[in-house]
Amino acid sequence: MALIKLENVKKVFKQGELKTEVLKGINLEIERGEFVAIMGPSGSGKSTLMYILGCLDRPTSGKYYLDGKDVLEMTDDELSGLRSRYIGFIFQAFYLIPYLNVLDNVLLPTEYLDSSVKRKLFEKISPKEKAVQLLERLGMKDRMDYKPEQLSGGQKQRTAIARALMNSPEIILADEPTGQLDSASGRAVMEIFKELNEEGKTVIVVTHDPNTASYAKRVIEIADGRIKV
Amino acid sequence: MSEIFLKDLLASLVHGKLRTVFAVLGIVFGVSSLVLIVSAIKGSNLLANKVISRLGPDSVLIVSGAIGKGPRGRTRNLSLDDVRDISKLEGIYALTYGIVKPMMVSNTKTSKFSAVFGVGENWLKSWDYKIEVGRGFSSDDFENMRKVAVVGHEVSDFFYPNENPIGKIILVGKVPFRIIGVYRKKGKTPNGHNLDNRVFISYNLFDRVVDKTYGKVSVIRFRVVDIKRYQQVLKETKQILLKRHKKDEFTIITPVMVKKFLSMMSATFALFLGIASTTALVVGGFVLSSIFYINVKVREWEIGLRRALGATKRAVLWRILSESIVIAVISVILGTFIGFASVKYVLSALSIPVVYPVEAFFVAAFFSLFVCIVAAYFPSKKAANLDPIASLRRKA
Repeated sequence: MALIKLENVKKVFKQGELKTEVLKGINLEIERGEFVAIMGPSGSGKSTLMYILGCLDRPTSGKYYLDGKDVLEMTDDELSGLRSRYIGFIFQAFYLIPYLNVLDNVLLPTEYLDSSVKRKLFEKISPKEKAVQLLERLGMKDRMDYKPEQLSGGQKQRTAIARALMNSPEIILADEPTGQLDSASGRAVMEIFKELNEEGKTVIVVTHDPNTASYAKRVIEIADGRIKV
Repeated sequence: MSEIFLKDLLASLVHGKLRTVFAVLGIVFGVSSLVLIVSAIKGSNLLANKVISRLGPDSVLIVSGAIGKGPRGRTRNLSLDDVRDISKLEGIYALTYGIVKPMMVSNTKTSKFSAVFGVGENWLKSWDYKIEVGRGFSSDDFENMRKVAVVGHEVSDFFYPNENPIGKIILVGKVPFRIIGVYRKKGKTPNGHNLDNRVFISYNLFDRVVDKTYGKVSVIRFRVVDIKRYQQVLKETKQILLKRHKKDEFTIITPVMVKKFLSMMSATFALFLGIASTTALVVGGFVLSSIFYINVKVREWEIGLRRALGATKRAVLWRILSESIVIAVISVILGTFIGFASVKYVLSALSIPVVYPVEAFFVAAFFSLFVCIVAAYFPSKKAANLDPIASLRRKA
C-alpha cells in the first residue's frame, strides 16, 4: 500500500465572489522510501500541493490517504497529531525560533507530541540525547548553544533538518530547502536528504530549481494545477 | 508541562523584554493599588475597633458643644449639676467628668504648654491610663485638696529628664503641684493630639487655681452595667441634659456612632481607591491585550511553524495564555511588594494603623490573574485560529 495516495484532489480558493482553482485534479501515489521532487514554476500549485501533503491544508474535493488513513475525515486535532508524528517540515526560510538555541529549537517538536506517542518514541533514548545525536550527525554539535542569528544559512538549514527528524517522521517534506542557500551549502543539504533517503526515509522536495530536483529519484512536474505526464 | 515548554515560554518573554515590561507595568499599578486599598480598609477597621475598645462598648460620652460647631474642648456648657443628676441614674458605673485648658506649665527654670485637665476621681481609671511610676489619685487626695498631679511622659521627661520625677514640683499657672505619678505612654490620637503631653489635677483644684469655672465641665463619661439597658439609659441621660440645656449645647457620643463614622471613612477609602485600582487594572488589561495582539501579529509565522510541527489549536491558545499568566504572576509579586511598601507611608500619613494583611495579596492575585487571562484570551484565540499556511507565508 502506498504511503501517500491522492485521488482527483482539487483545491479551490475563494476570495469573495472570485474562485480560483489552484489544483485541478491531482492523482498521485508515493511509496515508502521514495525520493520525490515536485517541480513547477511559481503559481503552478506546487506549494498548495505540498501543504495538502503535509496535512496543513485540506483538499476542496478528492481523496487523500496517508498511510491508509483518510485525511479528509480527520478533525483538526487529529491532523495536528498526524503532522507531529508523520511529517518533518523543512522550509526555505528555515523558521528557527529566534530566542531558542539550536538544541532547544531541535527539541521543540517533542512539545507537540501526544504523551503516549512521546513515551513510546523516547523509550530507549531521551529527547535530549536524540537531539544531540541528530546535531552531531549533521555537524552541528559544537553549535548547540548558538542562537539562530549566529548561524550561517547552511547551519540554519541543518538545524531545521535536525528539528524535522526529531520525532522520527515517515516523511520529510521540504519546501525550496536550498532557496536561501549558496550553491555549496545547497548541495550539502541535498546530500543529507539523499543520505536520509538511502536510510529509508521518504523525502519529498518541492522546488523550481532543476539542480535541486536532480537529487530525487522521481520528478513530478506540475503546471497550472495538473501533473504533467 | 515539559521542560522545553517552560524554556520556550520564558525565553520568549525575555526575548520580548520591552513588551513584557510594559505589560507587567500596566498590571503592577492595579495590583499595588489593590493591595493598598485592602490594607487601608483593614487598617481603618482596626482603628475603629481600637477606638471603640478604648471608649468601651458600654460607655456613654457627653461632650460640651455640638459636633461641627467650633472646638468642643473650649466650650463649657455642662455642669456639676448635670453630673449629679446623671449619677442618680440606675445601672451606671464609672461616672467621671473633666475639664481641660491648654496652659503654661513650668518648673521655674523652663516652661512648656501642656493640656491641663481638672478631673473627677475615676477619670484615670475610666480612660484607661496605666500608672507606670508612682501612684494614681486616692480619695484622700481629693478630699484634702492635695496639690498633686499625674503627668504624661512628655511632661516628666521635659522637666526632669534622666531623674525620678516623683515628688518633684511643677507649677501650673502659679501654683506648685507635686508629681505623684507618670502614666504609660499612649501615643497620639488619630487627629494628632499628643496624649502624653497632659497634666491631671483634681477638678476642685482646677476650679480654684487654674480657672474660675463655677462648676462647669466639658466632658462627662460613664458606663452602663447591663448593655441591654443601654438605649434606655441613653434616653434618660438625654432627658436630664435637656432640662438645663438646649439641643446644640451638648453631644452624646456612643461607640455605635463612632463605628458608623469610622466605617464611613473606610467606605470612602474603598470607594476612592477601589475606583482607582479598578481603573488601573482595566487600563492595564487593555494595554496587555493590545500588546498581545501586536505580539501575535508579529509572531504569526512562529505560530504557523508551531502548527506545522504538530501544535493543536489548544496548544497555541494555551501557549499564548501562559505568557499572560507568567506576566500576571510577576506583576502580583512586584505589585504586592510595591503596594505593601507604600502602605507604610500612605496609611501612616492618613493616621491609619499600618497593617500588612495577607488577604491583600490574595485579592490582588485573584484580580490580576483574572484580568490577565481575560485580556489575553482574545489574542490567544485569534492566534489559535490563524490559518497556518497564511501565517507561514508571512515571513517568506
